[in-house]
Amino acid sequence: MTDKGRRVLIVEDDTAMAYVIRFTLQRAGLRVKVADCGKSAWSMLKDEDFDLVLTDLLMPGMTGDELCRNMRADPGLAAIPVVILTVKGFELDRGHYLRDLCVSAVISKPFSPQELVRIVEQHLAVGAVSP
Amino acid sequence: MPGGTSHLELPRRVAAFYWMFSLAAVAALGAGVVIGAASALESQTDTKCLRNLGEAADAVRAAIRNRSDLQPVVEQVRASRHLKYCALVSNEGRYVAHTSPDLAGRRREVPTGEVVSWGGVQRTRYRGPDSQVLREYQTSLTLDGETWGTLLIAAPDPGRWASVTAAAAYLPAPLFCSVVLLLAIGTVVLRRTVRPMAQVEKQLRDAALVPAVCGSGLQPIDVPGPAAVGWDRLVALLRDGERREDLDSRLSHALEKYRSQKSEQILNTLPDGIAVTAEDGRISFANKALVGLLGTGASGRDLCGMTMEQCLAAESAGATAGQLFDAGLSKRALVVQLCRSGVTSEGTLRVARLPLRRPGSEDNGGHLWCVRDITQQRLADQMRDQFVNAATHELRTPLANIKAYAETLATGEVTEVEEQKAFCNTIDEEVTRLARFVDDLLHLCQMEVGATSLKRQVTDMERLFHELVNKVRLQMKQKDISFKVNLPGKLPELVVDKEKLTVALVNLLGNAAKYTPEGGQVRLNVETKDKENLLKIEVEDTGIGISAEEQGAIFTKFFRSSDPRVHEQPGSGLGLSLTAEIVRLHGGNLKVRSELNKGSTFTVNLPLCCGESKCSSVQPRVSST
Repeated sequence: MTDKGRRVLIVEDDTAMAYVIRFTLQRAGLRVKVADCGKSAWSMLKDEDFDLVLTDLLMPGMTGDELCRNMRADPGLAAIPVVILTVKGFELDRGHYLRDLCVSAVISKPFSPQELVRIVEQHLAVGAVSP
Repeated sequence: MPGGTSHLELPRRVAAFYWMFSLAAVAALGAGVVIGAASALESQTDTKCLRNLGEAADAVRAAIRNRSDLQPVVEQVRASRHLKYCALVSNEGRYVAHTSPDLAGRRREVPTGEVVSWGGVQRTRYRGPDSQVLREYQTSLTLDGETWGTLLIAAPDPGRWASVTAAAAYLPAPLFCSVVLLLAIGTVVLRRTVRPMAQVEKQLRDAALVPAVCGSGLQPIDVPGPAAVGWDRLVALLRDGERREDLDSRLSHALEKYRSQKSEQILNTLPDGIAVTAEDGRISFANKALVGLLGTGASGRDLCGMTMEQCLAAESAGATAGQLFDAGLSKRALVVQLCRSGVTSEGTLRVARLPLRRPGSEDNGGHLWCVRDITQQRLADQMRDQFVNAATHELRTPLANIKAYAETLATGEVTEVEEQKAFCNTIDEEVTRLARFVDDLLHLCQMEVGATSLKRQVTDMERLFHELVNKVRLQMKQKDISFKVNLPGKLPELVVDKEKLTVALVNLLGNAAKYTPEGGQVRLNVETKDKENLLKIEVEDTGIGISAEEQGAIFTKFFRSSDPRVHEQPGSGLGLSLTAEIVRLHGGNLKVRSELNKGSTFTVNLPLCCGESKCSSVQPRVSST
């Protein structure tokens, strides 16, 4: 059984939040790995294959924004769909992420875990993005 | 036209003209008199000669009747009448008798000259043989109706001069002298009349030589007469006007000077640097603040004469600075932020430049510069932005967690009871976390408004500390921190705001827990110092410590250290400022001692109030931020 198409990397520095997301996605049948900062996420991306990256924005060290850019700059990672999960709400410039960084979706916290699962599954189904 | 030195004064000129015309009149009169006298003399001479001629004719006729010799008759006539000659000419034209004997019997030569006739008499004026001008009168001699011949008498012509001298002889000397006297008197009177005008004319002529008419150059004239009075009044008016003008101009100068001094004074009190540059970019005015901002620390450094480029270039470089000195943009008003990275100072300057126009034209008349140090403001803005980010995070993260966990529980996804409990606990923790942050925010609002006040009550300090310890024990345990508490045997009762003091101390302990890595140590030491009337509360940790540069800043609002280990921990940057404010309101002080990577010790000293009465008189100070 291959997990291809179902591998999700969660990048989240808040442990409680990371736990509940992992719980939710695993319950939905996805293979989930968690990175607690951008730097470790980057090294995990280099080492393993993932089908979707779910990331926070405000993190110490490498922010979600930087992680995105680095991914888009790397040919091997450029096609992986990215979903942003952030505390920033109405003040966020969604256009920048959706357009410029080819992010698939931007979800604001607080969020509904059910909704999260739906969006993740949707974009996993879509597959690779063309940046 | 202003004449040279050959120009005569007015009185002399008038006198000259007067004399000229008077003499001309006198001369004309004299000439008239002479001419009149001459003609009178002439007619007198004629009358005399005609009478002589008549009498001679009678004598000759008498002689002819008497058949006497005519020669002695004519001679007698000549002698008695003082004639030149007397003669008798026959009808044939031969001298019958002549006083010049050699002419007797000779033919008469009719003299040629001017002839005038009166009836039967004719007068001829001619030049005689000895070049003397003679008048010859002739008449035909009739006797008994018969023309006998022509009688001639001649007398010397008196000549022109004779008439003049005769006329002169007629003019008596006194008359002449009185005329001269009158002329002299007239001159004197004229001069006197003319004198005021003379002085005026002289002054006006002098004024004409001077390039600018100056009233003080004109003098009043001390001569009686209305003209002089009028002139004096005019001069006085002129001088008055000048004085007033002078006064006006001095007044306006003084006023201008005062205003500009006042303006300079005002400009020098402004905290912003103001400068005015000329078209060439050189500073013509710089106020004190500018010298302080741009003068490299040297007091009283004179910026005038330097260009703004020189002054600013020393501080910064880059595209924004380039904008200010781009000639193409010199007519535009610009506001630019320059970052200083000089040796003596760091920070940001806001430079505003306004083009000045020369009055009445579109030409470049230099620039007006306003330089403000906005380093503090930017720092404050930065910290506020940091705070807003932190606040966003601190509010929404717990909410997100609460929602996620609650919803997951509600869907029944969590089947195991232990896990359910764990989920609920997480919710509980997040709520606590959120509540704490909301409290921080509220305290911030209070501090901003200046409404922080203490509700002091008699408080059992031992109880306070025990509750305090309970609040933070879990946090300490979670990080496996060894938490030791040292309380003195007997803690006094203090009149304090229990709630706020707890908040303050929880902050300190919470920080100690946050910034101490796992397995570290935190100590709470409480000591009463009766001699100094203090209650000393010390929170000591073996945490990441605070760098020496930051130790001064940690008590400022929103300040969060740039240490990445600090950033990892959630925090609003308000805790320490709140603690410091609460301690201050209690009349105490808050100090820190720290070494990077070794740990920190925060010390709170609270005054021990002795007795309620004393403490109730303490008025909470309204904090002004």
